Amino acid sequence: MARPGPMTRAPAEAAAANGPLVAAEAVQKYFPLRRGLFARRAPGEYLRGVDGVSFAIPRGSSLGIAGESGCGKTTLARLLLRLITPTAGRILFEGVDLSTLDGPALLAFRRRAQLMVQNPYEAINPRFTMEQALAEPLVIHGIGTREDRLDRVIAALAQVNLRPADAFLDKYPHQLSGGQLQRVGLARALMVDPIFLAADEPVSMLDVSVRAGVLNLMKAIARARHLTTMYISHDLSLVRYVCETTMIMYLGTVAELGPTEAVLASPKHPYTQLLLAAAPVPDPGRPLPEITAPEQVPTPIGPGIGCPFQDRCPQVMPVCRTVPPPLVFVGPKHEAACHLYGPH
Amino acid sequence: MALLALEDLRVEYRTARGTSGAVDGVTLEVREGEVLGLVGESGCGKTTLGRAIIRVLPRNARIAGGKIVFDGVDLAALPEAEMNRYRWRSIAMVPQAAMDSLDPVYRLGDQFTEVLTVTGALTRTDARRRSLDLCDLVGLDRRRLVALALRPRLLLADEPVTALDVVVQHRILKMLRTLTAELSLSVILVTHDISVVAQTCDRMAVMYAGNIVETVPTPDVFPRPRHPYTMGLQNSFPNLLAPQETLIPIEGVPPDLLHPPPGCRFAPRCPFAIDRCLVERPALRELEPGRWAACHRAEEAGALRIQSQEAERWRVPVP
Amino acid sequence: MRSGSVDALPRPGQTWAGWRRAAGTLWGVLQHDRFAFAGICIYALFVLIALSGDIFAQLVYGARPALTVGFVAAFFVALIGTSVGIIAGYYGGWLDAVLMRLADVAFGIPYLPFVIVLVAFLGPSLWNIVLTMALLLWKDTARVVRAQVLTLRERGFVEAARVLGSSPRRLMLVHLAPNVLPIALLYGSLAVGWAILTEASVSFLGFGDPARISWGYMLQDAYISQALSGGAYNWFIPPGVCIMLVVMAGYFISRGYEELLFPRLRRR
Repeated sequence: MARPGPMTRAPAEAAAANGPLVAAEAVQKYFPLRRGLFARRAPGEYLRGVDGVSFAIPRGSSLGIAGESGCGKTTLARLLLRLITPTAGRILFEGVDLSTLDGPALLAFRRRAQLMVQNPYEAINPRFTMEQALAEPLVIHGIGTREDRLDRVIAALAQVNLRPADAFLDKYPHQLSGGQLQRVGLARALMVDPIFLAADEPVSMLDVSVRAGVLNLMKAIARARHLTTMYISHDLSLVRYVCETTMIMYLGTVAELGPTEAVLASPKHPYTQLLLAAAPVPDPGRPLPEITAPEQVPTPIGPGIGCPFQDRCPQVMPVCRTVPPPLVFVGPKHEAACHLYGPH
Repeated sequence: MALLALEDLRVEYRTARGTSGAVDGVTLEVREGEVLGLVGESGCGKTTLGRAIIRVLPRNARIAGGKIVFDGVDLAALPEAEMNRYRWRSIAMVPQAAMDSLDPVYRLGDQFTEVLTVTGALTRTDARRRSLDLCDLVGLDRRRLVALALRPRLLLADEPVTALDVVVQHRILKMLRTLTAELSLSVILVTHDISVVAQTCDRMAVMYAGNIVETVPTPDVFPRPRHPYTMGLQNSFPNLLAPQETLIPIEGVPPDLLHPPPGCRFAPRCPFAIDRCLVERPALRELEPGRWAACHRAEEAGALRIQSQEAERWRVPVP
Repeated sequence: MRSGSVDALPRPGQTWAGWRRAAGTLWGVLQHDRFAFAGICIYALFVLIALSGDIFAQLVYGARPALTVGFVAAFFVALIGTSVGIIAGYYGGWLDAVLMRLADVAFGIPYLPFVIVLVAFLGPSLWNIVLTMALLLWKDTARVVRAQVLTLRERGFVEAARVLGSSPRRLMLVHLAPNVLPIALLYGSLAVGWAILTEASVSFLGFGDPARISWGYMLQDAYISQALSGGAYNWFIPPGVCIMLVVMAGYFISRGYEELLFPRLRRR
């Protein structure tokens, strides 16, 4: 099998070297509700996982994506890593449309974009020792010789503070704690020297006392290696800890996008305001606030006319029922998709 | 007056590799109408403690000693048949996987009614009416409220909001507070999330490896933790509203309860451990009225709090 | 074929002390080894020798087709079932739909009539029976393996492997196959039992290979000779017990293999 070298760049792509590393252009991913060989699908019978999302992640920066479960954040991550392909729209990675990648070019992309999965207990094949798990990326991409690989694996373990590395080489996943496994997950993602790292709720299954260790490690490694990162979480305080930019998603759409501190200090979209009000804070002096938003279970199924947040919005207006709000600037680099700030 | 008082409660699990003291000498009080937050890492024994109170332990677990005094009666000494009088009627439980606590095959109303009638407390019609009342009271999230169907006096809520979205979580916590006020209900809220405790509970008990290490009124715990473990938890927990700080993890892992360390169980991970901590187990002491901590150096807590802010100290050498 | 005198073989001691000694030894073995079923089997054989040398000879000879059919058929059932299950579960979509409809068809075909018709076409032979079993019995394994693959596919390590650039072949062979192996082995060992039973039923119905003695053939022979009503238990119980023991042995071997292969199970 021909081994691809560093990503082969066409001249046009070289121009994109200064642009954002990742750019999503009106990305849409619909999932058919009825499956089967001969199923016919009416237009409404789709689940709108991601519904027209555009954003860019500049090189070396970190984007945090927050929202309720089912808002499409994981689907978006899978799209960006080309685990699935969009129904419509384009995702550009270093200026190249991901859906055009194939064969060696796709394999080269796989060396540049990596993932840290949510559940540490499922992150490693239970039949693999840590050595096998960490050597696997090297085997797939044909990096290094057999002896060389062991050295790399040991170095990788040391890099994520699993010392002495020898003690971990022959361990199986069930012999390690969640925090240790998540570190191995990080180390495995770094084996191929990626430039983009997506992390999908990497600490949500971990105990509070070990979360900080994994997050600090991620931050330190991202800084040292100039990684571009994307961090997905339902916990705004963790997004704030890791990311410069924050994107709030609601039912597959972008509700608000901007510098983290700006979004959290002066949230513009009613949904962001709701999330912030409801978020628990370790401060006994602050009692649980009153929330006025109507109780509604959001559904990503159906025709989807108007603003996706209309049924739960305390400030809903007639226009929200018919016109989906576009993203408008509400501050420096700070955008919100809400008619309160639009021309209406 | 205390509605529930645990005195030196011990729960043991028999495993293939030996006996593990999942709850090892817990002394704790829950007052009338109070919400007590029970906090700790996974595996620290908080779920076991909750289940021991209502005596629904797994087969290989048993109460090995101590008292569970509820309203003047020692539940640990009651025969099984009499214990049933207390379950549901006086003490109710919301189990961890609340999503699974209702049978999807039956309608909600029928399930409420079943709880109410099977226990023999009400007739069918009354039960029906009561369940409707309850539904009105709690709004959308009815499923969690089966536990309240019989107007118990103590509610054990085991991670009731874990894995829920913040908005739903907020609604349930809010509802919990309303209910405690309206029904003068006492609650033990088991959780790993100290921010949930901060905003909902009157008092907080911190558990570590089967021991209670600190019990304090909630308003006091965050500015002035007295146990190094609580300090560590506070360091590792992000606060959305406070200025951004570097989080400090507690390195290491909780001890194996089959072979717990002889002294303080937190000593191997504690940056302030002295020789005494390694050999002598600290007792839970009342330092000031209502403020209890199990630490040999609790008197120095003021100084330790300042030192605990330094990340370097928490780098415990790898064993 | 009623030949094969075994008079030359030794008989166990018929004294009371001899029986007691034998029972004591057996009990000792049973206490120490779960594979002591083998011991029971040997013991049973000796009893049979004592009872009827003729039946013993048939029993020994009949083991050959039973084991051949059992293991060969089980091997193919597990192989086809696992491959189909993994491919259907991994790729999903139309391939999954087609393969699973095929499985439905296999489910729908009544087994014995199918075997009888096929044997009638191809001629009665052991290998044709094996062939029909391979053609029809893979469906259970395939279904269960597919279900397992569907949950495995959502696991983090499969996703991570895809992100790392694993080829579908590598994913299926390195990540999925080892993780469905326990269940495939279990179904494989169950298939051993099925295959032996099926061979027995086909022979019992008289569609087996007439040139070979098998345990099923013995049962049929006993049935036709009205051994059941005649109270000739020593005629039909031994082949029945042997079928049962081999099926159990298949199961225990797969369990042991599983423990050997995946040490994690040993802790429990």
